Amino acid sequence: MAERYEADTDVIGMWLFLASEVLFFGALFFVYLVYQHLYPQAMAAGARRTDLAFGTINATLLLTSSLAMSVGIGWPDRLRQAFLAAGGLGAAFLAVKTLEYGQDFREGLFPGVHFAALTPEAGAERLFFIFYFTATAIHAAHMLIGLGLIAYALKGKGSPMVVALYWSFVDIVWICLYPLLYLVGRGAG
Amino acid sequence: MNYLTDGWTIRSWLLTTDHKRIALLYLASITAFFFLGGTAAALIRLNLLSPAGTLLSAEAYNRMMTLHGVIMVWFFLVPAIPVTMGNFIVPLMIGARDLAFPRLNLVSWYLFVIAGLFAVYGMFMGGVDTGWTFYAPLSTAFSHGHLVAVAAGIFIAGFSSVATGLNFVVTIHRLRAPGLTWYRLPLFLWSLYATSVILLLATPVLTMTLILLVLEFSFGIGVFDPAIGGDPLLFQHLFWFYSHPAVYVMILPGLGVTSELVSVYARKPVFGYKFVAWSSIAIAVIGFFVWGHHMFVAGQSLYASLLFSFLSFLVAVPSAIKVFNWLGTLHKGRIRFDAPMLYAFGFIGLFTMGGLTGLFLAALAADVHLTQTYFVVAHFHYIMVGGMVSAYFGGLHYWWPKITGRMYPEMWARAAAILIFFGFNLTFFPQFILGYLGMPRRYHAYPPEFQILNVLSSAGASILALAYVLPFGYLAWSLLFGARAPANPWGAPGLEWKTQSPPISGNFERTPMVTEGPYVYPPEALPHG
Repeated sequence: MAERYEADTDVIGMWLFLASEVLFFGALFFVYLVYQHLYPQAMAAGARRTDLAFGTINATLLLTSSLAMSVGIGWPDRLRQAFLAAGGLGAAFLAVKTLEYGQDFREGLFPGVHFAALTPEAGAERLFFIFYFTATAIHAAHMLIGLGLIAYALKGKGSPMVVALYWSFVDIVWICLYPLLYLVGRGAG
Repeated sequence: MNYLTDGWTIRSWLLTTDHKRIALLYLASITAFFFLGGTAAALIRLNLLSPAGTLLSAEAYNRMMTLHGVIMVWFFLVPAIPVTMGNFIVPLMIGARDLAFPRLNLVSWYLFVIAGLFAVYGMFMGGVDTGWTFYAPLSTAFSHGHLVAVAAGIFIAGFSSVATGLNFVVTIHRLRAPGLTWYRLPLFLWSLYATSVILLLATPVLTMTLILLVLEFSFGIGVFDPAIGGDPLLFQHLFWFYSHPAVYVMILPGLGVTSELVSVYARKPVFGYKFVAWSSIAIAVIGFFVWGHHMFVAGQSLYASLLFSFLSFLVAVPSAIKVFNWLGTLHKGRIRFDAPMLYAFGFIGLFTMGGLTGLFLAALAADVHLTQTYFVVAHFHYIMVGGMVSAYFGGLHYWWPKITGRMYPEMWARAAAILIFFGFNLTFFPQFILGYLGMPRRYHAYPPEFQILNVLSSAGASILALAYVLPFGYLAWSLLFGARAPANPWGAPGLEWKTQSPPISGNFERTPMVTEGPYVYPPEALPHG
């Protein structure tokens, strides 16, 4: 009884933490919205230079990972396998992201001094890639923490529900990022 | 046996999960920061004794002013009451053994200390000259201070804030004693709850803003960089989206403490309990929608300014509800002028002054004249120092017997309370006039015609400095020589007074049952005299 109450308390704590996370990413999305509003063409031009294949593969991997974890929560007998699958798919996401970063750097997309702009609005195009790199890097950092939590849960510690909530949140952030980074600009073309 | 005697090793303190011990760790840390920030303020006031600036170069003055702001805001005012009295009292007030997440509480202290080390390191390696607001592109393109270390300090302190806020919200929801319904909660808890919600929802925005700022400063990849089309105003929007609600983080706990003090020392239930309780929530909610009043002259659209002006007036309503309800509580009360009550009176007067002058600044036309002058400096010091620090000392004296098991020396405490009030007014009232006359803030020098008022202000600051050192001295004295405190020296009704002073490690022998509201004063509970 008391243990159950404590586990529920942990879950409430995680919900509150996620509320705080929403505001954390919210600030970044707000920056995106402002520049999308100020420089729609240049932002779209930036978005067209991202790699749709990498983005889509990663969206698939992460959604599947989240599905696996939800299955584990709903089916406690298979919790261990489900968490292993979720963690494996999450690690695959990070591997793909690393490949993608490599390609981005080779194509001069990193918004530092060597940024290779395509449009006359080079500054605004750079703003897109500042958003792209900041958002994906912070998301990847969350993924790493999430993988740590999964490993912790696999050792039988902590509450699986807390880990699952966090992992779903990381998934949701990607669900928001994926269209903004890979799809919106392409629609405008 | 009590929580202080339960283990004497350094380890038993540094690895404790007892909220009471963590509160004391925090108390020691923020006291150090308070005196550090205070020293910077003293140097600033010394410098302004003469129009040319007696002490500091323009550059050094800017860095000192930034140090004062950063240390006082993030390392004293924001944490002050929540992490010390909140940490100590919240579980006791709700009849719990500890906070909901005791280990997270300890982690939050370590984060706070690490954050403080980063900030202090940055400050002593040369500091930052941007002011505590770090406006881009001044901070990113034109300033060459130790921005990264200081920003890292504030960044880490943010995690500590979020952890504390989260802990309080969950604790108040989950760990209340049987019978302790929401409307039976002491008003201190309502105000801490509102504070915690702000900490949870505003701090992360600052965290992200600092990340973006440091990326721009260190790697030249800047979303605020006007050279590539970035919008510097965007920085101000994001910064104040945190920092204005943070102003309420700095005052709401003080409002809560004052509600407790006014009731206990007038021996009457707080007048209009539900209004006072919900006004805390209203301040927290409306406080999220007034940030634009920091940007009236920054080039924001007039329509936005009108809206922010209106909302700023609106947030005065719940604040005024509190003041009027405290006065209603005092009416026909049996008022005792103990030191905590003197601090509470000081708080009410100074908070009212600070609040009303805030309305001058919320008015668009008046703000054009007053913005960037000492009027603003005086206004927010009336709230932050006159208000919050008074409430902090009031609460510290009120709960001191519970925290330490010792009584503080009453006459010394009254003298300090009165001295703080006078020293404060002498320091900051002249600044209203200076600002009205047009003296700009943030300069190390000023035109000679402002000297008399500046000397008055500096004289007040020296009284204030002395008055702040006094409690440090006699409270420390009382630890060894003060009279032993009984469980309930004030005849106060809260649950924290139902256990011994200082409390045992688990707070209560048995979980208390609550059968009545928070401010019931039975006649037989009258204290001596």
